[in-house]
Amino acid sequence: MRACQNAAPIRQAAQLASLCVGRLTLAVPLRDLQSLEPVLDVDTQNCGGASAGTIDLRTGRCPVYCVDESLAILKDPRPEHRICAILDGGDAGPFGLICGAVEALEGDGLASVGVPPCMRTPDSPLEGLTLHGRRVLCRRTGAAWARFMSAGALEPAGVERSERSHMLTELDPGMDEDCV
Amino acid sequence: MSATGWLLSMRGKMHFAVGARELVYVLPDEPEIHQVPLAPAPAPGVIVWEDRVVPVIDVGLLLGGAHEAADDRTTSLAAMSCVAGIVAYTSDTAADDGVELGALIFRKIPEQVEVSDDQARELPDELIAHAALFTSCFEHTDLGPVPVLNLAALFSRAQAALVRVA
Repeated sequence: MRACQNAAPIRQAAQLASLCVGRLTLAVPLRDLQSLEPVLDVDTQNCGGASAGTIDLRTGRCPVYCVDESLAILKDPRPEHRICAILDGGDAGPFGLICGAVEALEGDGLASVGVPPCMRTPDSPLEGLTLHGRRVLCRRTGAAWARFMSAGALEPAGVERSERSHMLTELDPGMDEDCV
Repeated sequence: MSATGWLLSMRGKMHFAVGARELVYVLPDEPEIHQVPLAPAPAPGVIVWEDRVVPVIDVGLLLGGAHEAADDRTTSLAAMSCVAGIVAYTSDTAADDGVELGALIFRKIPEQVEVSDDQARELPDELIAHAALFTSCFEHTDLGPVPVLNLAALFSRAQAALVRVA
């Protein structure tokens, strides 16, 4: 065996917000995190399409999504999901993502790589992975998550991936630069 | 002429080999695999090794369909006792010296093996469709044909394409 001098190139990432969904940690650029709201404020009676409900903000009402660790849509938030993170969805407008914990991460402690080639699939919503200590974050912009949540991650857990893959966005390598 | 390598025991009672210098490190503990959502099943996640994010491929699961029925093919990595090894390969897309890292899942600690030219043989018929994933194949006294993995092809190709032919 021998020492290896390098591996996949690792680049410093910009400031990120991490959003914990069970053992899965999603990440968005910190600038995409608009506010944090209590889950109790989510109106779950008003859920349509993929959303688990809506929440009223000063700027208006926006959809709220809830996913599990495999990014399948959940209609009912789990008890450990106590926070509704309001994210900038770009053209889609703000949206809420229900999660268990939210943390702002400094760029100095972060290192990012693209999605490894062997893991790329047309239905992957990820633009890359970011290492923070021993944690691995699944990174994409708020706008991209908004597209994924509203157009792709519609089906509840248990639906075959191949059945929903046609609805999902293609991996967009260009998006990678947004977070770097 | 002979060469040394590592004999890899994968799930599904499958055996493959890599070159002596391609296996960089064997993790002493059960690997902590960080699941990547929507990743293909044979490439379920990454491990963190030496401050690097290293993709994991379960070759036994990837190629299991081409082999005889194996009772542990459907067992999740979390539920099975496994060993992970870090492998190195060269890639045109890698930075600096062109070395990239990947991780493979084994059923047990790899064993060193010495192979001579007269052990060379053709790939088994059931693996012909996956020929791009192997650099060669040799006959092992006890195990029969043992394909030698082409790590660059394995880690550089989108698994979706591989799964389609598996």
